[in-house]
Amino acid sequence: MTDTTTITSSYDKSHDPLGHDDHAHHPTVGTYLAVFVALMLLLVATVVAAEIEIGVDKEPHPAHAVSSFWNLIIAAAIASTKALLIIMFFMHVRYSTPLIWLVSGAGFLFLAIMFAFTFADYMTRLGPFTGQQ
Amino acid sequence: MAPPSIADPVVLPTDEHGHGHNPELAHHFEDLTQQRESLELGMWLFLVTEVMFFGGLFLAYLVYRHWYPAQFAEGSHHMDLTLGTINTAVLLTSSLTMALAVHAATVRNKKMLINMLVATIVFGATFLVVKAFEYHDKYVDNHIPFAGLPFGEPSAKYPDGIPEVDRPGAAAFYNLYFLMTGLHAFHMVIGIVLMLVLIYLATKDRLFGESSVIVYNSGLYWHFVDLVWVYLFPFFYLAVAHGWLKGGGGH
Repeated sequence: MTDTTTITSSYDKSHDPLGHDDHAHHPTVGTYLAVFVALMLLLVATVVAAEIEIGVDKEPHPAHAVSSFWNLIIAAAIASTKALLIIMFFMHVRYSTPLIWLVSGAGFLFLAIMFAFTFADYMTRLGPFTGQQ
Repeated sequence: MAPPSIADPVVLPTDEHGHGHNPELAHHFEDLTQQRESLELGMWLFLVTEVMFFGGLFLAYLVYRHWYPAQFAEGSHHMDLTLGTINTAVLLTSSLTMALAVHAATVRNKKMLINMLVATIVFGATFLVVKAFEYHDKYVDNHIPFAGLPFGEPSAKYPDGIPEVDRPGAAAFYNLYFLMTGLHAFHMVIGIVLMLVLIYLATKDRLFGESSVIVYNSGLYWHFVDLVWVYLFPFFYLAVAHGWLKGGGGH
């Protein structure tokens, strides 16, 4: 096999433990552990928050405890905080190229549009099922 | 590799940066950075389709919960919060070990890579076993609204069963529960098979250098599956207060 110095230098670059120039800023083990601890604390927070009934409406079905709108909002907010930590650090988006930011963000943007337009319809038209319809 | 020699007349093709042909660089890429970024981009495009796939189910969940708040609260009350919380912690831990596996592949630490992949499998399998016990509880409680099972009929734990008027809403809750957690569990089974393949490749030293992107992309997949559960847990287990702060089981 033939060889040149440029081949050797190019080959060595791929063996750089930190990978490529653009990926030089990988998260450290310490970062991963900190994110993990934060995720566990948020897990405790969401379980405790669900136990604190905020503005629970006993109507229209007084036989059952009905989860309130605000409990749902808080649970979704905590879940989204956990999701953001996972996406940014475990999934490396924080350290990725603008193209990855765009593609990953686009997925959630279109999801948000789908949710917003669907609920603009449902929440203004269709009330809860009461058993009397 | 042999040192360069002026006696060697062959000049290999080089790009504008003076790079020669790297055995780890596929021919259709300009350089290693472009190759790596293309592989990451491809994985993210797949994950975006997964986001839309699960997103539609989450939308269905919220629409039905808006329509049947009482029946969803009741269904959530019958979830095993302890098992659900433990399983969430187990899954978050598996995400940590997966992140550490990606780190190990990047720094070429074979022992750590294999250990972390094994740990990820163990945590993932633990999650699935706990989930199987939860599904069995639903079977015993007559809370499975398909396969011709006696849904909502009295059971040992719930002697009153589910009132006739509440059954459509309860069926919506349990159908979505089994569909969404079932699809999530199916994704985890695929993930575990993926980890087994990675362990095999790791023992052959085939996951280092440019090939570490295989571990990286598998990590993206595993973290995405974790992400889905991060929403499934509060939606199904925490739709209502379980009453343990007041020191009682509620029902």
